[in-house]
Amino acid sequence: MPTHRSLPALRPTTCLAVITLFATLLTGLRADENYFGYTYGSETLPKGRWEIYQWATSRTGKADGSYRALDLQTEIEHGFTDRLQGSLYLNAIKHDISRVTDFSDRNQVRFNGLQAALKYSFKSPYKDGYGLALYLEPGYKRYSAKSGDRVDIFFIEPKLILQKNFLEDSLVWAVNFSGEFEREHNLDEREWESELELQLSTGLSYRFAPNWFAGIEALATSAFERMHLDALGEYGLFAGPNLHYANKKWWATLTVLPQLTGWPETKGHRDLEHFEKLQVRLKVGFNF
Amino acid sequence: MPSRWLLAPAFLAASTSGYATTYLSLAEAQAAIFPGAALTPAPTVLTAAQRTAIEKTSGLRVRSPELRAWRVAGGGWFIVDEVLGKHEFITYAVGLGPDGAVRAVEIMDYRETYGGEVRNLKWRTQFAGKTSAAPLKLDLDIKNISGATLSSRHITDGVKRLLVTHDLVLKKSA
Repeated sequence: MPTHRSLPALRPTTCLAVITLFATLLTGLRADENYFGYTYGSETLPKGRWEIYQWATSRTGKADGSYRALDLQTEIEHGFTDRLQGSLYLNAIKHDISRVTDFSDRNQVRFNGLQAALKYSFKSPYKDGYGLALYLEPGYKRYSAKSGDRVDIFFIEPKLILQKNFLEDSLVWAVNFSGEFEREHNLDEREWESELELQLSTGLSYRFAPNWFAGIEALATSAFERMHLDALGEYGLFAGPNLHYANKKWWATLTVLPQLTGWPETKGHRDLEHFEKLQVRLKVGFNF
Repeated sequence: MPSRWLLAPAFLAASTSGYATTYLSLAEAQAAIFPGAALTPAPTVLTAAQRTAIEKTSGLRVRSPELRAWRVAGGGWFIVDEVLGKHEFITYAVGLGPDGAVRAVEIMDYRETYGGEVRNLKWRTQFAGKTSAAPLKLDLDIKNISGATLSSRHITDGVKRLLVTHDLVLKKSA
């Protein structure tokens, strides 16, 4: 058992109330949009604009037992220029785990650190034929996303963002390639570990009616121990549908990603030790 | 099963609705571009061949065969058109003089979060005098509005398409 002192666990109903109140207070504000749940577009906020997002990512299902995790992120974003934006994220994480092999049973909600991000747009998909942006996100997390164990994780994640629009911008295709360099301090074993996580994600979304987009999204993720590319620890491939709605005041995006395949295989062709059977992400954004 | 927590923002989202901003009615747009002139409705339905010709010449898609056009007494045309905004359609009007050149562009309905700067007179004045021979390209003969690039480009493309439509269809029907 961890010997450190942890923050008091938050009750799920308290978190829900806070999120709902927070969103309600912002309902009268204007909105912009993200087309995808996992894949970033190359656009940035116009100069002087602010945006607040609430993210909720549900991760469920292991090889046995009951596993439910929920990642909550509140993000505030600002356009410093028409090409450069900055973001600040506050994170919370919930784990509801029972009888899962190699995982401790727990049911808790915790504050899970914060991160900042900068995004610079080099090319606009509306003017230059394609969109190109670079994104850099350093951050700190307090809990393992997988197990919920108390750890200290310091990371930096550069990301290359490409976007191409078709059919008068009613069909949007985006591709992200990112590498997350991570240093993790295991507080129980008093050890530092390094890991490199490489991710490739892509999404295609079509405006099928005013305000509405629907499409598909895919995410391939892999982790390399000690940041050595010859030391692959695991990989997972997720793909599924996404739905996006936006109007002048707010937008919401829902993406459902089941794990299609993974390695090392723990059940069938999936890796259910490092990843989950299903990820569902909902993002809601409000601008002001 | 996805957490029931995810449903809370969805319910919240479903409980609100968007709104449109109408800046100019049809009569106001007509009066702004052709003050005091008599306008006669001349609705036109483009044939398949005409749409193909317009698309080939302009390089732009013709979304609808229906053209909301009015003939101006003494020469010229008033046309109401729609282009895609980021979320919804932007409704705008273009006035063409007897020589087929743009007299003015007016934004009638704008429903987007950003990009409302396309309503600025200074930006819209750039179109005055343009004919179908003009490039009508952002950063070439039309200045882009940073932070409103999508709206700037789609309206610019729309004006280009209407100028070509005038050349290939309306001018011949006069």
